[in-house]
Formats: sequence, structure tokens, C-alpha cells
Amino acid sequence: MMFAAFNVETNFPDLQRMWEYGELWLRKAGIGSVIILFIWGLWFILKAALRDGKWVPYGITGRLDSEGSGNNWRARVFWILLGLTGISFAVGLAYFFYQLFVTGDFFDPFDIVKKDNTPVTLITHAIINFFCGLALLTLSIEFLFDVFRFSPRRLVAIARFSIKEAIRRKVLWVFLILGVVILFASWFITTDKKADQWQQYINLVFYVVTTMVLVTTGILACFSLPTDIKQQTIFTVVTKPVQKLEIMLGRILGLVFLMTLILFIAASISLIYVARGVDPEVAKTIRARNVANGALRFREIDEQGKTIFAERGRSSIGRVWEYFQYLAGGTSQEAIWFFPNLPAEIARQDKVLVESTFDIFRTSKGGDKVEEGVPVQFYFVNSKKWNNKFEEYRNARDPKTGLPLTPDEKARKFGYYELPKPARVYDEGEPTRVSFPGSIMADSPPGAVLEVHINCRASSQYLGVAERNLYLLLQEGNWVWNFYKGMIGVWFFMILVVILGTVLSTYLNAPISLLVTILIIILGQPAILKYIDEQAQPDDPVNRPGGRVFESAYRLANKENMVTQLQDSTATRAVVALDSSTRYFFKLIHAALPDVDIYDRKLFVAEGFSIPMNEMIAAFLRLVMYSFPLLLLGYFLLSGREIAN
Amino acid sequence: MAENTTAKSQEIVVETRNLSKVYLDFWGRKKKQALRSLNLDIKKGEVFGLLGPNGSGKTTTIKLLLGLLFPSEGEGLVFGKPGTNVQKNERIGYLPEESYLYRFLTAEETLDFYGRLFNIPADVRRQRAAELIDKVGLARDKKRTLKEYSKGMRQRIGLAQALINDPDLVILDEPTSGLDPIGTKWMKNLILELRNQGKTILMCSHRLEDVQDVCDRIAILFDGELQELGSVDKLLEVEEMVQLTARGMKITDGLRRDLSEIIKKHGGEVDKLDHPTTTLEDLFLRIVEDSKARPGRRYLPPGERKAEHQKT
Repeated sequence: MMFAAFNVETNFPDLQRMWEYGELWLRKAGIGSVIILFIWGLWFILKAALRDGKWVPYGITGRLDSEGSGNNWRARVFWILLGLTGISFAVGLAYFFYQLFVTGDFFDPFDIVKKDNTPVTLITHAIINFFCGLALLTLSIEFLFDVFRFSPRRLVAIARFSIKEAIRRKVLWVFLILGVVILFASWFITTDKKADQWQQYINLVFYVVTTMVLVTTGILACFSLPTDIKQQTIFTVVTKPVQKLEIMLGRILGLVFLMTLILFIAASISLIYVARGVDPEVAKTIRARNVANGALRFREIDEQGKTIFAERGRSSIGRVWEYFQYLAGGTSQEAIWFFPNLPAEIARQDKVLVESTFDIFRTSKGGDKVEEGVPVQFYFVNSKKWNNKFEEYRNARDPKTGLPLTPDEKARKFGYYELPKPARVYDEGEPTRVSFPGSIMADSPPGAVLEVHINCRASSQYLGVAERNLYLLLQEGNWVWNFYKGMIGVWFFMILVVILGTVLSTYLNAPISLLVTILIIILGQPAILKYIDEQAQPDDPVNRPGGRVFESAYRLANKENMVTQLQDSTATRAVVALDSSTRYFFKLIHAALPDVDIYDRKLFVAEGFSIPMNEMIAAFLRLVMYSFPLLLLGYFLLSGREIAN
Repeated sequence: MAENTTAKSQEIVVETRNLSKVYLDFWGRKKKQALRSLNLDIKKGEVFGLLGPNGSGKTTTIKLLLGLLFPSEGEGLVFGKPGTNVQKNERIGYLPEESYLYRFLTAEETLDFYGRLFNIPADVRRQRAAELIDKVGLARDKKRTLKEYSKGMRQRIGLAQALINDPDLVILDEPTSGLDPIGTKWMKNLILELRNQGKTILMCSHRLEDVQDVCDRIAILFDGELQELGSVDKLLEVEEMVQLTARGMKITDGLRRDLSEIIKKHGGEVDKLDHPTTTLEDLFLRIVEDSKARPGRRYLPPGERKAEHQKT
């Protein structure tokens, strides 16, 4: 099955949701900053009281007095910000307890969803964001002071130096292995099905390039600084007018530059290899489809005749894999894809192609013959034009000629179109392709959304649908550019590894930094992240019975099963409360881990889909958001470190 | 000790006030007290030596002044700024104990890299690097990577990197370590030359003769504590003894008798009367210079030397 629609389980970052991501990031960073400042405050008070008796803090690193005692305005700025953060923290805490004891609500600072748009709600959220921003600013003020003292020339000097170091220490010999792997790659490519050849080549080269680039990057990033410290060569650098931040950022820049060059060369060689390796017939079918994806919702009419909208389908066929959700055939259940912000030129197209793949779950072989497929009806609706007047739609005629209107004219007039007869979906076949007249979106008022409704007509069969498995085909893109876009995902991942490895190596020794980097990348895999995210969600006794660590342990110790109601006692209440509070620990862990799957776009390339540019920009912004706290951590670790100790 | 020809000012370049350093273990427990309440003032234009056996706190003091270590108590100021201040490094040149340089760089690349860290414009950087490479005698080896250098050559390029910014304060940690007598002599001359240019030099060494030859003042440390501080002349002076050096005579019984009488008259007594010896360093340098001047020169036993002398 060449270039079928594909199963994408990753929620790729969406540029339109970046504000939401940003707000959540600010909350996490702000709350994290408050925790760090609080711990630092306790340590500072203890240290001052027990050891040196000094009560004047010169910042988190204690280095803000380095201008000498007469010129410590930076320390004063830090003091003021710290005071304001303290006040805002007290106000936040008071609000938390007010909510808990007076209104009975549990105030969750990570909850960015606004329950309404009243001024009180909006102002409350704005104040929380401001407090979080203030805490983050306080924590990062020393870092920012140093950023403003940067010398680009020094930064470039250190970057150039780290490139030279990587080349002359011969770490890049690892890349010879890439050449060897490519030389013998054909051993690993089975050509049983010619149609799958492209996918196999793409998967192989992406796998090899990603692995080689990330392994080399990890080694270079984790070993560079610790080697410098171990061999004490860093002594002659830090005793020059170089800030430690410049040392860290210079190395990061140098490695990113070097590895970018290497990645580009490796990607280009891989592209030539793939283009020459695949069968000429297969090469002709390589595509990079630009598609529009919609948001999937479900609709059905319940027993009381009420219309219900839901984010998930209500029918279950008992499969553990929840990628597909199922519509029961012969019922009112509908899957609806919403396409806002479609390009205007769609309205000028005679036909807009819709491609889709579905999963069929059969409860019987009778009735519908398997080879005839399952009938599925498609409806296309312009949300701003369609008024649900089916009678009028079906009987519409031209007022001048009195002849029935063509489907195209009807679509233009009513904003509605339905297939003349249901499409057939086959169990193991090509994707289903249908089309609708683009005129459906013509003369639309602003904010019009295209809705694609589908309904399974075969009773006793279930139709599996997924958000990414139905899309509008807008145009064909350039597959070579698409290949490089896939490699840009690898590039983002490489930058993440450089930053992670370098930051960790400011404190840990080289092998430990490498191990921790690998561990963080493993924990950032979607399955593990999903598990941690589940643990961070509020209690849900229906879908996740038995509680988390403490409640489960209590149940095990008392031989109680997962679903029985716990006896109401002080002990059980304490256990349940303790158990509920662990979700904040998991929230912190979840916030600290990178979502590495958003950088893996080889499936797009392999399946012939153009990688959406807005998703790539959003992924880059997510990378920037993740990197800032990491750089801050590296700054504190390196600044607080006695290089010669 | 060489005479200081530059008028020393009263401007204090380095000062330490109760500077202390305690090394702690992972749990914050005291592991070693490396330095205890050190109080020092180093004035502009002087060559100051830190003396002491291994582990006495010399290198720790230097590292505290450079911000490589943080003080446990007290403060160490350079140009009035704490060790952790980065801007003060603009005026400092530092030669570490071992020549901690990147061995995969050539001499030229090394100086260029450190010059860039000082934000020195490219043309000035190139010119200064060439001058320093010449000065330290590595012009022929400037394209070789440092891993091919001998220890002495690395020490020379280390000194060149310490001078790339034309510093006001030069900190030298064991500057003659790894150098042969010629290199040692060259290094000592260079230190004196730097002092004559008005630069302040702080050096630490356990080669006492080096310190004696170049330092104006010294501090002697033992077990992290300051034991002695003062000018070399004063500290080395033996007040209860008098030394007289004369030329053009042999030691005879008559001379011994006459001198005893005069000395007795002034209330003293002759302790020792013999020919002075030169230092081994002077002898070595003289022989090397002689060998350079007379190619083919070789060692001859005393008998042959006499015959050779008569022949010529």
C-alpha cells in the first residue's frame, strides 16, 4: 500500500496553540522558580545563621558583589525582585487557601483553562501569569545581567575553538561508521514488496543519520567541558575576561554549527543514496502531499433525541490500542472533522480531494460482502452557510430555467454537499478518495469552518476513525525539500542533545553526563511521557481505579482490590491525600522532560506527506522554551562551581 | 637579588584580608584547611614571591585571587575587585603551574585564541602574537602543535599567552618549573624586564634561588599560614656577621694573621677565610656560552688541558 494515509499518534505542536503552550510554560517555569527560590532562601538562612553569619545575599550564585562593595546595584535589583516575588507568593498562597476553605475549590496554578471570560477570571489568570513571570525573572536576573555583558567576539572565539577541538580530537571518526552502514544498507532492505521500498529506504537513512548524529553530538557535548576541567586547560580560559556563561554558550554554538554542517552533508549523501537506490518505477510515485488536517469530534443522537458532541467516540470494540475510535454502523453516530482557516483558493477549485483511511471492525461476515466493502456516507458543510433545510436543498431549482440545480450550484448556494452515494471502504485497500466542490466555501462570511461528516451505513460493522487519517489534499509539494524538512526535525533533536549534554556536563563528569542525557531522552519517549502524564492527572477512580503509589501500596497491604471503596478512616484519608499530592511530583517530572517525539518526522517523508511548516515553527518554539530553563540551570551550576576544586 | 630600577608606587594591586580556604567534602565536612587568615598587600611595580613547601597554600592563594576557588572566609582583591570579578582579568596575565594549554593547537593558534578572549582587534592580535613568539624563542616552531613541544617550550608559550594582553599584573605559578638552566635564566631575566616595564609580578616557587634572584619581597607560607613577610634583602641579612670580598691576593698565613688582628681590634673574630665559589648556574651558563663561541670545544683532563694550553 504505497502512500496510504498514515497513523500518527504524536500530538505535534500546533502554531495556533502556541499561546496556550507559552502560558503553561510560564506557569511551570514560574512555579519551578518559586520552589527553587524557596529552597535557596532556606539554605541561605541556615547557612547565614549556622556558619558565616552573613545576611547579605549577592544573588543565587553569590557573585553579584563581584564589582566590589561600592557598586552592587545588581544585588539591590535582585533584592527588590526577591521581595516582590515573596509578596506575590504570599498573595498566591492566601488565594489558594481562600479557594480551598471558603469556596471549596482546589486551586491548580497549572490549570490554564479559563472557565469563563468574565473580567474576574481574566484578571485572575493575568495576575497568576504576572506572578509566575516575576518569579522567573528573579531567578534568571543574574543570567540576564551576564547576557547583557556578552562579547560576540569572545562567543565566536569559543565556538570556533570548540569546532577545532572536535575536529582535532578526531571524535568525528564516528561518522565513518555511517559510511560503512550505508555501504551495506542494501543488506537490510528487503524488497519483497516494491511499493514499500521508499518507506524502507527512508526509515533506514533517517534511523542511521539520527543515531549517528545524536550519538556523536552526545559524546561531544558531554565530554567537551569535563575534559577541559579535568585537564585543567580551562584555567587559562576562565582567568581571561570570559564569563562562564560565554564558555557554556560558546561551546553550545560551536557544536551546533559543526553538527549542523555534518548533518547537512549526511542528509545530502543519504538523499542521493535513496534517490539512486529505489526502483525507477517507485521513484516516479514519490510524493509530498500538502494536506489540511482537521480536528475530530463525534456526534450522535441519544435515546431522548438529544444531540451529543464528544471528543471521543462512544463505541468501544475492546481494543487496547486507542488510536482508532469507532462508529457503530447503521446508527446516528457521526465523526466530524472541523477545518478552520482553509486557504481561500479552495473555493475556486472545481473539486477538492479528500483522502482517508479507516479501520473496519466486523461483527459479522453476513449481510455485506467483504469484497464490496463497507458503505460510508460523506457530508460536507460550510458552518456559516448551511441552515439544515434539507427539503429546500434537495428541491432547489434555477429560478430562471426551473431546472434542478447542479451539485456545484447547490454547494455554492447552501454551503452543503453530500456524496450522491456512499463511498466504499475496504478492509485492506487503498485509501478512500472522495471529492467535493470547492464552491461550498465560496462567498463565505468570515470564520467559516468546513465540516466533513461521515457516517457508517453498514449495520453490524464498526468503522475506525482517527484525526490524522482524513485530510484535504491541497497540493503536491517538492519531496526533496520535504526530505530536508524531515532532517530539520533531526536538527532540532540534535540541538536539544547539545544543550542537554553541555548543561549536565557543567556539574557532572563526562560519563555520568552522557548516561543522564540518554536517560532523559529515554524518559522523553511518548509511551513513558504518557504514563507520567497520566500519573499527573487528577484522581479518576472510574478510568484509573486503585490510586497511585501510596493508595496502591495501602490496598496491597490490606488485600483490597482496585475497585472496592476504601473504609473511611483517618489512615485511609491520609493515604488518599498523600497519594493525590504525588501527582504534583509527576507534574514536575513531566515538565522537566522533553517531548522528543515531536522532532521525529520521518513518517511524513516515508508516507509522502509534506511536513507542515507551522508545525515545524511550533516545534522550534517548544525547543526554545525547553532550552531556556536548561541554560539557566547550566549557568547556575557553572557559576557556582569552583573550577579548581 | 637584582636591583629594582623602577620606582615602586604605593598603589596596592593585590590585597588579601583574612583570606582563608577550607576544602570540604561532599557532606560539607572540613577536609583540609588550605589557607588561614592571610593578610598581604602587593604594591604596584614589585616582584612578590610566595614561598613554601608543597601543600603550604601558595597555589591556593593564587587560585583564590583568580576566582578559580572561592574563599571560605575573608577576601582577596585584585585591583580592588574580588577574585570572581571577570573584568579585572583584563589586566592580569596568568601562567599556571603546569602549562595547561590546548595541545591540539599550534603556538600561533594558541595566542590567537587567547587574544580573541581579550577582544584584541585582529591586526593588533597578530602583531602582538608574532612579537611574543619571537620573544619566547619559538619562531621556528610556531606552526607545530603543542603536543610536539617539550615541557620547556610549553612553558615558554604559556608565558607568551600570559602576556598577550600586555597585563599590569603577571601571576606566575612555578614559572621555572620544567626549564633547563638556560631557560631558567631566560625566565628570570624576563621577569626583571617586566618589572622594569612597571608591571607587578606575583610568583610562587619552591626553587629558592629563583625567588632570591628576582623578588623584591617574599612571603613564606607553611601549612596554610603566613610565617614570614618582608623584603628579600632584609630577610636574608645576617646582622651578626660581616663579609669582605677582595681581589688581587692569595690567602697566606700573613694575611690571615693581619686580618685577625684588625678584626680582633674591632671586637670580632675571623670565622672563615677562603676563596669564594661561583654558583653552579653561573658555571653551567659560562660553559654553554663558551661552547657556542668555540665550536669543537670538549672536556679535557687537567693534564691534557695543560698541554693544550701550552700548544696554543
